[in-house]
Amino acid sequence: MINIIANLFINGLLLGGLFALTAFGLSILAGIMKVINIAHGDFAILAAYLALTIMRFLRIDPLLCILIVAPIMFGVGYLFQRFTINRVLPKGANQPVLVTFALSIVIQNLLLLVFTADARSLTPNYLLMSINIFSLSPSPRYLLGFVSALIVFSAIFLFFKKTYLGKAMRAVPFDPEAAKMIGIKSEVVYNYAAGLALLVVGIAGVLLGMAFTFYPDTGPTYVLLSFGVVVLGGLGSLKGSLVGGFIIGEALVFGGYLFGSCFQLMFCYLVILVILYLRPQGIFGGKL
Amino acid sequence: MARLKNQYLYIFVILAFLVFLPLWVGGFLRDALILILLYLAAAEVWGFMAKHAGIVSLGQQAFIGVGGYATAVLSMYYGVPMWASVMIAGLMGGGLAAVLSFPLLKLRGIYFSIGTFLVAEVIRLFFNSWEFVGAGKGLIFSTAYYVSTLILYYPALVLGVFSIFLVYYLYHSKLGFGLRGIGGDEDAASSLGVNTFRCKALCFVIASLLTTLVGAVNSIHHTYLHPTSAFSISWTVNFLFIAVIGGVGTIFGPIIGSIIFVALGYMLSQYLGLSLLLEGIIVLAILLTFPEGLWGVISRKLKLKLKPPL
Repeated sequence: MINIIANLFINGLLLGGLFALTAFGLSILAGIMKVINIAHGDFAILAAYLALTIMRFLRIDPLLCILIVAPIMFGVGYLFQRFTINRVLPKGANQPVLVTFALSIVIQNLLLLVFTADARSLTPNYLLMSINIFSLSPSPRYLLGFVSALIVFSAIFLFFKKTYLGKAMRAVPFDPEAAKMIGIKSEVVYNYAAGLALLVVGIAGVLLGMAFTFYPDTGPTYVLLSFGVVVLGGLGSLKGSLVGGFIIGEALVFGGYLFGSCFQLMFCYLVILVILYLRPQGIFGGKL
Repeated sequence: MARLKNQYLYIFVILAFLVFLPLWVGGFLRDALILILLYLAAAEVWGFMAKHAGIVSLGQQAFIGVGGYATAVLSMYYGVPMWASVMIAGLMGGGLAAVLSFPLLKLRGIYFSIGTFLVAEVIRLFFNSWEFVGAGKGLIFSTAYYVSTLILYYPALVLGVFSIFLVYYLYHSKLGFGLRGIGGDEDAASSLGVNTFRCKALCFVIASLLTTLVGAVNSIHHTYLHPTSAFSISWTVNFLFIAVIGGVGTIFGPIIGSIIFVALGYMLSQYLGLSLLLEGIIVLAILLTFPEGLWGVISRKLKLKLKPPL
Protein backbone atom coordinates (compact mmCIF):
# COMPACT_ATOMS: atom_id res chain seq x y z
CA MET A 1 0.00 0.00 0.00
CA ILE A 2 2.75 2.43 1.02
CA ASN A 3 4.56 1.36 -2.11
CA ILE A 4 1.57 2.16 -4.34
CA ILE A 5 1.12 5.56 -2.76
CA ALA A 6 4.83 6.34 -3.04
CA ASN A 7 4.75 5.34 -6.69
CA LEU A 8 1.72 7.48 -7.40
CA PHE A 9 3.30 10.37 -5.56
CA ILE A 10 6.55 10.13 -7.51
CA ASN A 11 4.70 9.95 -10.85
CA GLY A 12 2.45 12.85 -9.87
CA LEU A 13 5.50 14.88 -9.00
CA LEU A 14 7.22 14.08 -12.29
CA LEU A 15 4.06 14.77 -14.29
CA GLY A 16 3.70 18.00 -12.31
CA GLY A 17 7.05 19.21 -13.62
CA LEU A 18 5.85 18.72 -17.18
CA PHE A 19 2.58 20.54 -16.45
CA ALA A 20 4.45 23.38 -14.76
CA LEU A 21 6.45 23.80 -17.97
CA THR A 22 3.31 23.61 -20.08
CA ALA A 23 1.60 26.27 -17.99
CA PHE A 24 4.54 28.62 -17.87
CA GLY A 25 3.80 30.19 -21.27
CA LEU A 26 0.28 31.00 -20.14
CA SER A 27 1.67 32.41 -16.92
CA ILE A 28 4.16 34.72 -18.70
CA LEU A 29 1.49 36.21 -20.96
CA ALA A 30 -0.93 36.63 -18.07
CA GLY A 31 1.69 38.11 -15.78
CA ILE A 32 3.32 40.49 -18.23
CA MET A 33 0.49 41.75 -20.42
CA LYS A 34 -2.58 40.60 -18.52
CA VAL A 35 -3.77 38.42 -21.38
CA ILE A 36 -5.08 34.90 -20.94
CA ASN A 37 -4.25 33.08 -24.12
CA ILE A 38 -7.11 30.66 -24.75
CA ALA A 39 -5.19 29.25 -27.73
CA HIS A 40 -2.33 28.28 -25.39
CA GLY A 41 -3.08 24.55 -25.45
CA ASP A 42 -3.56 24.60 -29.21
CA PHE A 43 -0.12 26.16 -29.65
CA ALA A 44 1.31 23.26 -27.63
CA ILE A 45 -0.47 20.75 -29.86
CA LEU A 46 0.65 22.69 -32.93
CA ALA A 47 4.25 22.27 -31.72
CA ALA A 48 3.67 18.54 -31.26
CA TYR A 49 2.41 18.25 -34.84
CA LEU A 50 5.35 20.32 -36.07
CA ALA A 51 7.70 17.88 -34.33
CA LEU A 52 5.79 14.98 -35.89
CA THR A 53 6.30 16.44 -39.37
CA ILE A 54 9.99 17.16 -38.77
CA MET A 55 10.46 13.67 -37.37
CA ARG A 56 9.00 12.16 -40.50
CA PHE A 57 11.08 14.20 -42.91
CA LEU A 58 14.42 14.19 -41.13
CA ARG A 59 14.03 10.88 -39.31
CA ILE A 60 15.48 12.24 -36.10
CA ASP A 61 14.68 11.73 -32.44
CA PRO A 62 11.70 13.78 -31.16
CA LEU A 63 13.96 15.37 -28.53
CA LEU A 64 16.18 16.79 -31.28
CA CYS A 65 13.08 18.20 -32.98
CA ILE A 66 12.81 20.63 -30.09
CA LEU A 67 15.87 22.43 -31.48
CA ILE A 68 13.90 23.18 -34.64
CA VAL A 69 10.41 23.53 -33.17
CA ALA A 70 11.38 25.98 -30.42
CA PRO A 71 12.74 28.74 -32.72
CA ILE A 72 9.74 28.33 -35.03
CA MET A 73 7.39 28.72 -32.08
CA PHE A 74 9.34 31.79 -30.96
CA GLY A 75 8.65 33.35 -34.36
CA VAL A 76 4.98 32.34 -34.19
CA GLY A 77 4.68 33.94 -30.77
CA TYR A 78 6.41 37.14 -31.87
CA LEU A 79 4.12 37.51 -34.89
CA PHE A 80 1.04 36.47 -32.89
CA GLN A 81 1.71 39.26 -30.41
CA ARG A 82 2.81 41.82 -32.99
CA PHE A 83 -0.13 41.42 -35.34
CA THR A 84 -3.02 40.31 -33.18
CA ILE A 85 -2.75 40.90 -29.45
CA ASN A 86 -0.99 44.27 -29.57
CA ARG A 87 -3.75 45.51 -31.86
CA VAL A 88 -6.61 44.55 -29.58
CA LEU A 89 -4.95 45.21 -26.21
CA PRO A 90 -6.17 48.82 -25.99
CA LYS A 91 -9.74 47.80 -26.90
CA GLY A 92 -10.81 46.41 -23.55
CA ALA A 93 -10.27 43.29 -21.51
CA ASN A 94 -12.66 41.00 -23.39
CA GLN A 95 -11.21 41.56 -26.84
CA PRO A 96 -8.06 39.40 -26.38
CA VAL A 97 -10.26 36.58 -25.05
CA LEU A 98 -12.33 36.62 -28.22
CA VAL A 99 -9.25 36.85 -30.46
CA THR A 100 -7.35 34.00 -28.81
CA PHE A 101 -10.51 31.89 -28.69
CA ALA A 102 -11.01 32.37 -32.43
CA LEU A 103 -7.33 31.60 -32.97
CA SER A 104 -7.74 28.39 -31.01
CA ILE A 105 -10.52 27.29 -33.37
CA VAL A 106 -8.43 28.21 -36.41
CA ILE A 107 -5.45 26.17 -35.19
CA GLN A 108 -7.61 23.17 -34.27
CA ASN A 109 -9.34 23.06 -37.62
CA LEU A 110 -6.15 23.70 -39.54
CA LEU A 111 -4.58 20.72 -37.79
CA LEU A 112 -7.71 18.67 -38.43
CA LEU A 113 -7.55 19.52 -42.12
CA VAL A 114 -3.84 18.78 -42.52
CA PHE A 115 -3.35 15.85 -40.14
CA THR A 116 -6.91 14.37 -39.96
CA ALA A 117 -8.56 13.38 -36.67
CA ASP A 118 -6.30 10.33 -36.08
CA ALA A 119 -4.54 9.83 -32.76
CA ARG A 120 -0.84 10.69 -32.94
CA SER A 121 2.08 10.17 -30.64
CA LEU A 122 5.75 11.10 -30.56
CA THR A 123 6.69 8.47 -27.98
CA PRO A 124 9.99 6.82 -28.99
CA ASN A 125 10.61 3.20 -28.02
CA TYR A 126 13.18 3.99 -25.36
CA LEU A 127 10.50 5.76 -23.31
CA LEU A 128 8.31 2.66 -23.20
CA MET A 129 10.63 0.60 -21.03
CA SER A 130 10.15 0.53 -17.30
CA ILE A 131 12.55 1.81 -14.67
CA ASN A 132 12.90 0.28 -11.24
CA ILE A 133 14.76 2.05 -8.48
CA PHE A 134 14.29 0.96 -4.85
CA SER A 135 11.09 -0.82 -5.91
CA LEU A 136 9.75 2.47 -7.22
CA SER A 137 8.81 2.67 -10.87
CA PRO A 138 8.71 6.23 -12.15
CA SER A 139 7.33 6.54 -15.67
CA PRO A 140 10.22 7.35 -18.06
CA ARG A 141 7.94 9.60 -20.10
CA TYR A 142 7.12 11.71 -17.07
CA LEU A 143 10.74 11.61 -15.90
CA LEU A 144 11.94 13.02 -19.22
CA GLY A 145 9.34 15.79 -18.98
CA PHE A 146 10.37 16.55 -15.42
CA VAL A 147 14.10 16.75 -16.15
CA SER A 148 13.54 18.88 -19.25
CA ALA A 149 11.24 21.15 -17.27
CA LEU A 150 13.93 21.70 -14.64
CA ILE A 151 16.52 22.54 -17.31
CA VAL A 152 14.19 24.97 -19.10
CA PHE A 153 13.12 26.55 -15.82
CA SER A 154 16.73 27.14 -14.81
CA ALA A 155 17.40 28.77 -18.17
CA ILE A 156 14.37 31.02 -17.82
CA PHE A 157 15.37 31.90 -14.28
CA LEU A 158 18.83 33.01 -15.47
CA PHE A 159 17.27 34.88 -18.39
CA PHE A 160 14.98 36.87 -16.09
CA LYS A 161 17.77 37.60 -13.60
CA LYS A 162 20.75 38.31 -15.82
CA THR A 163 19.73 39.71 -19.20
CA TYR A 164 18.50 43.21 -20.03
CA LEU A 165 15.48 41.87 -21.92
CA GLY A 166 14.55 39.62 -19.02
CA LYS A 167 14.75 42.50 -16.59
CA ALA A 168 12.70 44.66 -18.95
CA MET A 169 10.04 41.96 -19.07
CA ARG A 170 9.80 42.04 -15.31
CA ALA A 171 9.83 45.84 -15.21
CA VAL A 172 6.96 46.51 -17.61
CA PRO A 173 4.14 44.86 -15.63
CA PHE A 174 5.60 46.17 -12.38
CA ASP A 175 5.36 49.82 -13.40
CA PRO A 176 4.58 50.52 -17.08
CA GLU A 177 5.03 54.29 -16.71
CA ALA A 178 8.43 54.07 -15.07
CA ALA A 179 9.56 51.46 -17.60
CA LYS A 180 8.56 53.82 -20.39
CA MET A 181 10.50 56.65 -18.77
CA ILE A 182 13.75 54.72 -18.84
CA GLY A 183 13.22 53.91 -22.48
CA ILE A 184 11.58 50.48 -22.51
CA LYS A 185 9.06 50.14 -25.31
CA SER A 186 6.31 48.00 -23.83
CA GLU A 187 5.05 46.75 -27.23
CA VAL A 188 8.49 45.46 -28.16
CA VAL A 189 8.89 43.81 -24.77
CA TYR A 190 5.46 42.23 -25.23
CA ASN A 191 6.52 40.84 -28.62
CA TYR A 192 9.59 39.20 -27.14
CA ALA A 193 7.67 37.99 -24.09
CA ALA A 194 5.09 36.31 -26.32
CA GLY A 195 7.94 34.82 -28.34
CA LEU A 196 9.49 33.44 -25.17
CA ALA A 197 6.12 32.19 -23.94
CA LEU A 198 5.46 30.27 -27.14
CA LEU A 199 9.03 28.98 -27.24
CA VAL A 200 8.44 27.39 -23.86
CA VAL A 201 5.01 26.20 -25.00
CA GLY A 202 6.71 24.67 -28.02
CA ILE A 203 9.16 22.70 -25.89
CA ALA A 204 6.34 21.64 -23.57
CA GLY A 205 4.20 20.66 -26.55
CA VAL A 206 6.84 18.29 -27.92
CA LEU A 207 7.36 16.77 -24.46
CA LEU A 208 3.58 16.36 -24.03
CA GLY A 209 3.45 14.72 -27.42
CA MET A 210 6.13 12.29 -26.25
CA ALA A 211 4.19 11.53 -23.06
CA PHE A 212 0.59 11.30 -24.31
CA THR A 213 -1.36 10.68 -27.49
CA PHE A 214 -2.78 13.81 -29.05
CA TYR A 215 -5.50 14.82 -31.48
CA PRO A 216 -6.13 18.14 -33.24
CA ASP A 217 -8.66 19.01 -30.53
CA THR A 218 -6.56 18.10 -27.48
CA GLY A 219 -5.54 21.74 -26.94
CA PRO A 220 -8.45 22.85 -24.72
CA THR A 221 -7.65 20.12 -22.17
CA TYR A 222 -4.15 21.53 -21.76
CA VAL A 223 -5.28 25.12 -21.56
CA LEU A 224 -7.67 24.20 -18.74
CA LEU A 225 -5.01 22.24 -16.85
CA SER A 226 -2.47 25.03 -17.44
CA PHE A 227 -4.97 27.55 -16.19
CA GLY A 228 -5.32 25.45 -13.08
CA VAL A 229 -1.54 25.54 -12.59
CA VAL A 230 -1.48 29.30 -13.10
CA VAL A 231 -4.36 29.89 -10.72
CA LEU A 232 -2.70 27.72 -8.10
CA GLY A 233 0.71 29.25 -8.50
CA GLY A 234 -0.05 32.89 -9.14
CA LEU A 235 0.74 34.71 -12.35
CA GLY A 236 4.22 35.00 -13.81
CA SER A 237 5.82 33.24 -10.85
CA LEU A 238 8.37 30.52 -11.59
CA LYS A 239 8.16 29.00 -8.14
CA GLY A 240 4.37 29.22 -8.22
CA SER A 241 4.22 27.45 -11.58
CA LEU A 242 6.26 24.56 -10.22
CA VAL A 243 4.14 24.16 -7.09
CA GLY A 244 0.93 24.56 -9.11
CA GLY A 245 2.17 21.97 -11.57
CA PHE A 246 2.93 19.50 -8.77
CA ILE A 247 -0.56 19.90 -7.30
CA ILE A 248 -2.19 19.36 -10.71
CA GLY A 249 0.08 16.39 -11.40
CA GLU A 250 -0.78 14.77 -8.08
CA ALA A 251 -4.49 15.50 -8.60
CA LEU A 252 -4.36 13.79 -11.99
CA VAL A 253 -2.43 10.74 -10.82
CA PHE A 254 -4.34 10.20 -7.58
CA GLY A 255 -7.65 11.05 -9.29
CA GLY A 256 -6.90 8.42 -11.89
CA TYR A 257 -6.01 5.85 -9.23
CA LEU A 258 -9.00 6.53 -6.99
CA PHE A 259 -11.77 7.14 -9.52
CA GLY A 260 -10.54 5.44 -12.69
CA SER A 261 -9.42 7.06 -15.91
CA CYS A 262 -12.99 8.13 -16.77
CA PHE A 263 -13.18 10.49 -13.83
CA GLN A 264 -9.51 11.46 -13.71
CA LEU A 265 -9.85 14.66 -15.71
CA MET A 266 -13.19 15.48 -14.10
CA PHE A 267 -11.66 15.20 -10.63
CA CYS A 268 -8.79 17.44 -11.68
CA TYR A 269 -11.15 20.08 -13.12
CA LEU A 270 -13.18 20.00 -9.92
CA VAL A 271 -10.02 20.57 -7.88
CA ILE A 272 -9.20 23.58 -10.07
CA LEU A 273 -12.75 24.92 -9.72
CA VAL A 274 -12.68 24.60 -5.95
CA ILE A 275 -9.33 26.40 -5.74
CA LEU A 276 -10.55 29.04 -8.17
CA TYR A 277 -13.56 29.57 -5.95
CA LEU A 278 -11.68 29.63 -2.65
CA ARG A 279 -8.60 31.57 -3.70
CA PRO A 280 -9.09 33.35 -7.03
CA GLN A 281 -5.80 35.19 -6.47
CA GLY A 282 -3.84 31.94 -6.27
CA ILE A 283 -2.02 30.33 -3.41
CA PHE A 284 1.11 32.44 -3.87
CA GLY A 285 -0.71 35.74 -4.31
CA GLY A 286 -0.31 37.52 -7.63
CA LYS A 287 -3.47 39.08 -9.00
CA LEU A 288 -4.59 39.39 -12.60
CA MET B 1 -46.64 58.98 -34.19
CA ALA B 2 -47.06 57.91 -37.79
CA ARG B 3 -43.49 56.62 -37.72
CA LEU B 4 -44.22 54.57 -34.66
CA LYS B 5 -47.24 52.95 -36.29
CA ASN B 6 -45.14 52.17 -39.35
CA GLN B 7 -42.61 50.38 -37.18
CA TYR B 8 -45.26 48.09 -35.74
CA LEU B 9 -46.62 47.47 -39.21
CA TYR B 10 -43.18 46.42 -40.45
CA ILE B 11 -42.68 44.10 -37.51
CA PHE B 12 -46.12 42.60 -38.09
CA VAL B 13 -45.49 42.04 -41.80
CA ILE B 14 -42.11 40.42 -41.14
CA LEU B 15 -43.56 38.19 -38.45
CA ALA B 16 -46.45 37.14 -40.67
CA PHE B 17 -43.98 36.38 -43.46
CA LEU B 18 -41.88 34.25 -41.10
CA VAL B 19 -44.95 32.39 -39.85
CA PHE B 20 -46.02 31.39 -43.35
CA LEU B 21 -42.52 30.87 -44.75
CA PRO B 22 -42.16 27.14 -43.94
CA LEU B 23 -45.36 26.41 -45.84
CA TRP B 24 -43.54 27.39 -49.03
CA VAL B 25 -40.04 26.17 -48.38
CA GLY B 26 -39.31 22.62 -47.42
CA GLY B 27 -36.44 20.19 -47.42
CA PHE B 28 -33.03 21.39 -46.41
CA LEU B 29 -34.00 25.08 -46.60
CA ARG B 30 -36.47 24.53 -43.79
CA ASP B 31 -33.75 22.76 -41.81
CA ALA B 32 -31.47 25.71 -42.45
CA LEU B 33 -34.18 28.14 -41.27
CA ILE B 34 -34.62 26.18 -38.05
CA LEU B 35 -30.86 26.23 -37.46
CA ILE B 36 -30.64 29.95 -38.20
CA LEU B 37 -33.43 30.72 -35.73
CA LEU B 38 -31.95 28.51 -33.00
CA TYR B 39 -28.46 29.93 -33.41
CA LEU B 40 -29.92 33.41 -33.53
CA ALA B 41 -31.65 32.95 -30.19
CA ALA B 42 -28.57 31.71 -28.38
CA ALA B 43 -26.18 34.17 -30.05
CA GLU B 44 -28.42 37.16 -29.24
CA VAL B 45 -28.32 36.46 -25.53
CA TRP B 46 -24.65 35.42 -25.58
CA GLY B 47 -23.72 38.71 -27.30
CA PHE B 48 -25.85 40.71 -24.89
CA MET B 49 -24.13 39.11 -21.91
CA ALA B 50 -20.66 39.55 -23.37
CA LYS B 51 -21.05 43.12 -24.56
CA HIS B 52 -23.34 44.82 -22.09
CA ALA B 53 -22.82 42.89 -18.88
CA GLY B 54 -19.16 42.15 -19.58
CA ILE B 55 -19.53 38.46 -18.74
CA VAL B 56 -18.02 36.28 -21.45
CA SER B 57 -19.27 32.75 -20.89
CA LEU B 58 -17.32 29.98 -22.59
CA GLY B 59 -19.59 27.32 -21.11
CA GLN B 60 -22.98 27.84 -22.73
CA GLN B 61 -22.65 24.38 -24.30
CA ALA B 62 -23.44 23.00 -20.84
CA PHE B 63 -26.96 24.36 -21.20
CA ILE B 64 -27.34 23.17 -24.78
CA GLY B 65 -26.43 19.66 -23.64
CA VAL B 66 -28.52 19.69 -20.49
CA GLY B 67 -31.51 20.97 -22.48
CA GLY B 68 -31.15 18.21 -25.04
CA TYR B 69 -30.63 15.40 -22.55
CA ALA B 70 -33.39 16.59 -20.20
CA THR B 71 -35.90 16.74 -23.04
CA ALA B 72 -34.94 13.31 -24.35
CA VAL B 73 -34.96 11.66 -20.93
CA LEU B 74 -38.26 13.22 -19.85
CA SER B 75 -40.03 12.38 -23.07
CA MET B 76 -38.61 8.88 -23.55
CA TYR B 77 -38.15 7.53 -20.03
CA TYR B 78 -41.04 9.23 -18.29
CA GLY B 79 -43.53 9.70 -21.13
CA VAL B 80 -43.85 13.44 -20.60
CA PRO B 81 -45.40 15.14 -23.66
CA MET B 82 -42.72 16.55 -25.96
CA TRP B 83 -43.37 20.27 -25.49
CA ALA B 84 -43.90 19.89 -21.76
CA SER B 85 -40.47 18.23 -21.55
CA VAL B 86 -38.96 21.12 -23.48
CA MET B 87 -40.46 23.54 -20.94
CA ILE B 88 -39.30 21.49 -17.96
CA ALA B 89 -35.84 21.19 -19.53
CA GLY B 90 -35.75 24.98 -19.83
CA LEU B 91 -36.60 25.35 -16.16
CA MET B 92 -33.93 22.81 -15.27
CA GLY B 93 -31.36 24.76 -17.27
CA GLY B 94 -32.42 27.97 -15.57
CA GLY B 95 -32.17 26.27 -12.19
CA LEU B 96 -28.71 24.93 -13.03
CA ALA B 97 -27.61 28.42 -14.04
CA ALA B 98 -29.00 29.83 -10.80
CA VAL B 99 -27.07 27.28 -8.73
CA LEU B 100 -23.88 27.77 -10.76
CA SER B 101 -24.10 31.55 -10.56
CA PHE B 102 -23.21 31.46 -6.86
CA PRO B 103 -19.70 30.07 -7.28
CA LEU B 104 -19.08 31.30 -10.84
CA LEU B 105 -20.15 34.92 -10.57
CA LYS B 106 -17.81 35.38 -7.68
CA LEU B 107 -15.14 35.19 -10.39
CA ARG B 108 -14.49 38.14 -12.60
CA GLY B 109 -13.42 38.65 -16.19
CA ILE B 110 -11.33 35.85 -17.63
CA TYR B 111 -11.64 33.83 -14.41
CA PHE B 112 -15.37 33.65 -15.01
CA SER B 113 -14.82 32.61 -18.63
CA ILE B 114 -12.46 29.80 -17.70
CA GLY B 115 -14.70 28.83 -14.77
CA THR B 116 -17.69 28.36 -17.09
CA PHE B 117 -15.51 26.38 -19.51
CA LEU B 118 -14.37 24.12 -16.66
CA VAL B 119 -17.92 23.57 -15.41
CA ALA B 120 -19.10 22.69 -18.90
CA GLU B 121 -16.24 20.21 -19.29
CA VAL B 122 -17.02 18.63 -15.92
CA ILE B 123 -20.66 18.21 -16.95
CA ARG B 124 -19.60 16.76 -20.32
CA LEU B 125 -17.25 14.25 -18.68
CA PHE B 126 -19.99 13.34 -16.23
CA PHE B 127 -22.51 12.65 -18.99
CA ASN B 128 -19.81 10.75 -20.85
CA SER B 129 -19.76 8.12 -18.11
CA TRP B 130 -23.38 8.31 -16.89
CA GLU B 131 -24.95 4.97 -17.89
CA PHE B 132 -28.49 6.24 -17.30
CA VAL B 133 -28.24 8.46 -20.39
CA GLY B 134 -26.23 5.98 -22.45
CA ALA B 135 -22.78 7.29 -21.41
CA GLY B 136 -20.30 7.38 -24.30
CA LYS B 137 -22.64 5.45 -26.61
CA GLY B 138 -25.01 8.37 -26.83
CA LEU B 139 -28.77 8.44 -26.67
CA ILE B 140 -31.15 7.90 -29.56
CA PHE B 141 -34.05 10.29 -29.13
CA SER B 142 -36.69 7.97 -30.58
CA THR B 143 -39.82 9.94 -29.66
CA ALA B 144 -38.47 12.92 -31.61
CA TYR B 145 -38.87 11.00 -34.87
CA TYR B 146 -42.55 11.87 -34.85
CA VAL B 147 -41.96 15.62 -34.84
CA SER B 148 -41.88 16.98 -38.38
CA THR B 149 -39.69 19.90 -39.34
CA LEU B 150 -42.82 21.93 -40.10
CA ILE B 151 -43.93 21.63 -36.48
CA LEU B 152 -40.40 22.11 -35.19
CA TYR B 153 -40.05 25.37 -37.10
CA TYR B 154 -42.50 27.18 -34.84
CA PRO B 155 -40.77 26.71 -31.49
CA ALA B 156 -37.54 27.73 -33.23
CA LEU B 157 -39.30 30.83 -34.59
CA VAL B 158 -40.70 31.64 -31.16
CA LEU B 159 -37.22 31.36 -29.62
CA GLY B 160 -35.56 33.45 -32.32
CA VAL B 161 -38.16 36.23 -32.23
CA PHE B 162 -38.45 36.11 -28.48
CA SER B 163 -34.68 36.50 -28.07
CA ILE B 164 -34.76 39.69 -30.14
CA PHE B 165 -37.52 41.26 -28.05
CA LEU B 166 -35.90 39.96 -24.88
CA VAL B 167 -32.58 41.63 -25.64
CA TYR B 168 -34.35 44.85 -26.60
CA TYR B 169 -36.38 44.77 -23.42
CA LEU B 170 -33.44 43.79 -21.21
CA TYR B 171 -31.32 46.61 -22.58
CA HIS B 172 -33.92 49.21 -21.61
CA SER B 173 -34.99 47.65 -18.33
CA LYS B 174 -33.68 48.58 -14.94
CA LEU B 175 -31.69 45.34 -14.99
CA GLY B 176 -30.18 46.41 -18.31
CA PHE B 177 -29.07 49.74 -16.84
CA GLY B 178 -27.43 47.92 -13.98
CA LEU B 179 -25.74 45.47 -16.34
CA ARG B 180 -24.42 48.20 -18.59
CA GLY B 181 -23.01 49.87 -15.52
CA ILE B 182 -21.32 46.62 -14.54
CA GLY B 183 -20.01 46.15 -18.08
CA GLY B 184 -18.47 49.62 -17.88
CA ASP B 185 -16.93 49.42 -14.42
CA GLU B 186 -18.09 46.84 -11.95
CA ASP B 187 -16.67 48.51 -8.83
CA ALA B 188 -18.09 51.89 -9.78
CA ALA B 189 -21.52 50.36 -10.45
CA SER B 190 -21.39 48.57 -7.13
CA SER B 191 -20.48 51.74 -5.25
CA LEU B 192 -23.44 53.52 -6.87
CA GLY B 193 -25.78 50.97 -5.35
CA VAL B 194 -26.16 48.42 -8.15
CA ASN B 195 -26.54 44.95 -6.69
CA THR B 196 -23.93 43.56 -9.06
CA PHE B 197 -24.33 39.91 -8.11
CA ARG B 198 -28.11 40.00 -8.46
CA CYS B 199 -27.95 41.74 -11.84
CA LYS B 200 -25.32 39.41 -13.27
CA ALA B 201 -27.01 36.31 -11.86
CA LEU B 202 -30.40 37.31 -13.33
CA CYS B 203 -28.82 37.98 -16.71
CA PHE B 204 -26.91 34.69 -16.61
CA VAL B 205 -30.03 32.72 -15.62
CA ILE B 206 -32.21 34.31 -18.30
CA ALA B 207 -29.58 33.79 -21.01
CA SER B 208 -28.92 30.21 -19.92
CA LEU B 209 -32.62 29.37 -19.76
CA LEU B 210 -33.03 30.51 -23.33
CA THR B 211 -29.89 28.59 -24.36
CA THR B 212 -31.29 25.46 -22.69
CA LEU B 213 -34.51 25.82 -24.68
CA VAL B 214 -32.42 26.13 -27.84
CA GLY B 215 -30.60 22.93 -26.87
CA ALA B 216 -33.92 21.19 -26.21
CA VAL B 217 -35.42 22.11 -29.57
CA ASN B 218 -32.16 21.29 -31.31
CA SER B 219 -32.11 17.81 -29.80
CA ILE B 220 -35.59 17.14 -31.22
CA HIS B 221 -34.27 18.28 -34.59
CA HIS B 222 -31.20 16.06 -34.35
CA THR B 223 -32.90 13.01 -32.77
CA TYR B 224 -29.54 11.82 -31.43
CA LEU B 225 -27.53 12.96 -28.43
CA HIS B 226 -23.89 12.31 -27.73
CA PRO B 227 -21.93 13.89 -24.87
CA THR B 228 -19.09 14.95 -27.16
CA SER B 229 -21.32 16.84 -29.57
CA ALA B 230 -24.07 17.95 -27.18
CA PHE B 231 -21.55 19.48 -24.77
CA SER B 232 -19.04 20.51 -27.40
CA ILE B 233 -17.28 23.83 -26.94
CA SER B 234 -18.07 24.44 -30.60
CA TRP B 235 -21.56 25.52 -29.53
CA THR B 236 -20.18 28.51 -27.70
CA VAL B 237 -17.67 29.02 -30.49
CA ASN B 238 -20.57 29.23 -32.92
CA PHE B 239 -22.46 31.75 -30.77
CA LEU B 240 -19.30 33.83 -30.52
CA PHE B 241 -18.71 33.66 -34.27
CA ILE B 242 -22.27 34.64 -35.05
CA ALA B 243 -22.22 37.53 -32.61
CA VAL B 244 -18.81 38.79 -33.73
CA ILE B 245 -19.46 38.47 -37.48
CA GLY B 246 -22.65 40.48 -37.14
CA GLY B 247 -21.58 42.78 -34.34
CA VAL B 248 -21.43 41.93 -30.64
CA GLY B 249 -24.17 43.51 -28.55
CA THR B 250 -26.37 44.59 -31.45
CA ILE B 251 -29.76 43.09 -32.24
CA PHE B 252 -29.43 42.98 -36.03
CA GLY B 253 -25.85 41.73 -35.96
CA PRO B 254 -26.59 38.14 -34.91
CA ILE B 255 -29.37 37.96 -37.53
CA ILE B 256 -26.83 38.61 -40.27
CA GLY B 257 -24.26 36.49 -38.45
CA SER B 258 -26.47 33.43 -38.09
CA ILE B 259 -27.54 33.53 -41.75
CA ILE B 260 -23.90 33.75 -42.89
CA PHE B 261 -22.87 31.07 -40.41
CA VAL B 262 -25.49 28.52 -41.44
CA ALA B 263 -25.03 29.28 -45.15
CA LEU B 264 -21.26 28.75 -44.89
CA GLY B 265 -21.85 25.56 -42.91
CA TYR B 266 -24.08 24.15 -45.66
CA MET B 267 -21.79 25.21 -48.49
CA LEU B 268 -18.70 23.65 -46.97
CA SER B 269 -20.38 20.68 -45.28
CA GLN B 270 -18.49 18.07 -47.29
CA TYR B 271 -15.11 19.29 -46.03
CA LEU B 272 -14.56 18.33 -42.41
CA GLY B 273 -13.49 21.35 -40.39
CA LEU B 274 -13.12 23.69 -43.35
CA SER B 275 -16.17 25.80 -42.54
CA LEU B 276 -15.04 26.30 -38.94
CA LEU B 277 -11.53 27.15 -40.13
CA LEU B 278 -12.88 29.69 -42.59
CA GLU B 279 -15.25 31.17 -40.03
CA GLY B 280 -12.41 31.38 -37.52
CA ILE B 281 -10.31 33.31 -40.02
CA ILE B 282 -13.24 35.61 -40.84
CA VAL B 283 -13.85 36.25 -37.16
CA LEU B 284 -10.17 36.97 -36.54
CA ALA B 285 -10.13 39.39 -39.47
CA ILE B 286 -13.28 41.11 -38.22
CA LEU B 287 -11.97 41.39 -34.66
CA LEU B 288 -8.70 42.88 -35.87
CA THR B 289 -10.00 45.25 -38.53
CA PHE B 290 -13.55 46.31 -37.66
CA PRO B 291 -14.59 44.95 -34.26
CA GLU B 292 -18.05 46.50 -34.56
CA GLY B 293 -18.95 43.70 -36.99
CA LEU B 294 -20.72 43.63 -40.35
CA TRP B 295 -23.86 45.26 -39.03
CA GLY B 296 -21.80 48.07 -37.51
CA VAL B 297 -20.13 48.70 -40.86
CA ILE B 298 -23.42 48.52 -42.79
CA SER B 299 -25.22 50.91 -40.47
CA ARG B 300 -22.29 53.33 -40.62
CA LYS B 301 -22.10 53.21 -44.42
CA LEU B 302 -25.85 53.70 -44.79
CA LYS B 303 -25.72 56.39 -42.12
CA LEU B 304 -28.51 54.71 -40.17
CA LYS B 305 -29.10 56.46 -36.90
CA LEU B 306 -29.90 53.58 -34.61
CA LYS B 307 -30.12 53.60 -30.87
CA PRO B 308 -27.64 51.24 -29.15
CA PRO B 309 -29.11 47.81 -28.82
CA LEU B 310 -30.23 47.84 -32.45
